[in-house]
Amino acid sequence: MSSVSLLDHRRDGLGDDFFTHATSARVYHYLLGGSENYEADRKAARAVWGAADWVKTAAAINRDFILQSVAFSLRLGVRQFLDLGCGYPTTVNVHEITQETHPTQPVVYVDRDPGVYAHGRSQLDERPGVTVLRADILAMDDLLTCEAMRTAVNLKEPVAVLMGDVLPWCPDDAAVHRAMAALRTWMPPGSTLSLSHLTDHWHRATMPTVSAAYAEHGLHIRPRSREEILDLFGDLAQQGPGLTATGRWHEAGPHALRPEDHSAAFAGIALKPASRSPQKAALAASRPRSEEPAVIQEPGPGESQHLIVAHHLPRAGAVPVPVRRTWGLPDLPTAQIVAGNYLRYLRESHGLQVSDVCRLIGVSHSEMTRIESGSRPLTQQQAHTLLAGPYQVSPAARDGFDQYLYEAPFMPQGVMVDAGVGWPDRLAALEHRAVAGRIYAERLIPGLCGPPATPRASTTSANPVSRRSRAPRPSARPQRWSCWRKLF
Amino acid sequence: MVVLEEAVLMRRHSDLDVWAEQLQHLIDAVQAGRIRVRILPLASFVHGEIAHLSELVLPDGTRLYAIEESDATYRSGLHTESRLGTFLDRVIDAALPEAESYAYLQHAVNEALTAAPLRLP
Repeated sequence: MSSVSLLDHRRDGLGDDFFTHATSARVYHYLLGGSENYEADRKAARAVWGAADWVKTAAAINRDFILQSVAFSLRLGVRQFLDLGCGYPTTVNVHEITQETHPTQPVVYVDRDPGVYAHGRSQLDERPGVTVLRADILAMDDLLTCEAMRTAVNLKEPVAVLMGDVLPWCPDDAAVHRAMAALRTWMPPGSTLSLSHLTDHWHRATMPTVSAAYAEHGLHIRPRSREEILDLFGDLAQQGPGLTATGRWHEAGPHALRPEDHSAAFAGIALKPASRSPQKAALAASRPRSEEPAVIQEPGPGESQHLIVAHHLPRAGAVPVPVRRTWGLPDLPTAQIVAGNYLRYLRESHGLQVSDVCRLIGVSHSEMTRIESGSRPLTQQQAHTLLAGPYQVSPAARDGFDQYLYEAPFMPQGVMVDAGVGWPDRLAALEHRAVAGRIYAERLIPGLCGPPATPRASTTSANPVSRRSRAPRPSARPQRWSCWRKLF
Repeated sequence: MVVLEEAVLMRRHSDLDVWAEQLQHLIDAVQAGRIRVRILPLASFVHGEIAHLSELVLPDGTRLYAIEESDATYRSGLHTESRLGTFLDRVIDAALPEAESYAYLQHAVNEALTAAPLRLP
């Protein structure tokens, strides 16, 4: 619950040009869809985006990596978090995840940008356990030994350090290596380092243009090679898949199926092992990675259903923590979840089995199951074959679903707008599929709770109920209520 | 759990028979144990920009959030669960207890059955 600036306000404060020149934090926030930016930042972001269309996707992938890394570190038993180069507060911040299960555990946000510091002070530092520091991460020794850090962090316990694409903004290689060495030394045993870093590995052709576009707006980036990024981890032990494309690190994450080049960055989560003799450390370092023992940690009751495969789990923190189940679940594209569940509802309402329909669209049984669970997309032609064939959907509703599928690739991850003909029926299908739920209604009694004569009146009429608005339902009301009996 | 803002009960339908029918249906559903209803007082100051939000838990555990307006906006994933899930938590915390909410519903249906129809002058 404190905020401290280690930088000189007169030298590094809000100068006359602060709002007229682009800053990396605001450009990044703009790329994430945030509003903390000015014309200079928007110009810079648009120039970069014009040079390479992957920058926006890469920014979103990077943010997701960091947030999912928080859940990963929590599962390893780490309770203290240090977010270096945290950037502007966004819709979900690190402490909001940790406080789900550990409300008062420390989270320290660090950024050198005076705007970030100001926003952090106003939005974050009133939360229990949260500290906001304004500091230069290249002056790592000063940062780690400052009074505020010593007060916030207990060095007898492990710390999860998060560095989400912050080092590319530090072109000075020597200073970066000094800072990382100081950080690794400071980290207590059992700590984790989650780091992502821009690379030209997949974008050798466009990266110079991107660098030039940033430079034109006074920003300088230093993409690094895979080997250079690996060096930043020093002797820490890589976890999970090791250093890999950012979107691929969390294998059940929302971007795991994207091509690697969408990430435009490498990411890794590494663990500082417990202290051991230099001989054992040298032996471990020389051992090929594939021979390292993998520990498969089974989820406990109420936890995520997918397994975590980790190398060198810290002994003290290996006990699973009761992380809210949802954090560990894969973030599938929303459009696929909706489409898949809609198709499954249609199939089941016609009494068909997966085997009855998968051959029609030329996919295997398991592929059809994945389509219906939302973990795999389907083509417009496949959808058309099913809707016009065994599912007997009207031509107008088919057109509506066509429009839905057409829009899907253009929607951001996590969002899907269905405005095509038949959207209430598709929503009703999802309500049918649900096994639990909560509803909040500000103006109208929810259509789902209306009497049988007025199903979903709210979706077709301006009035709370209207006997004229009897939208065709995909199923009879008794079946719906039997479903919703489970729901509430 | 269905949370209705108090404004829902105050904004009666011009056809009071229809309105009473709908409220009675809601009461029947509560009595039968099919749904649980909580009323959010206008004075609670917990309001968002969302007029109609459904949180649907699908069989595989995925939480899907549907916002109904003139179309349906679906949201899911880590960010959404934190933002919209927390919003629903706050709304439920601020709502009247179930017993009080049920009494309020009964009062509303009695009013609808006895009050004169609202007509424009």
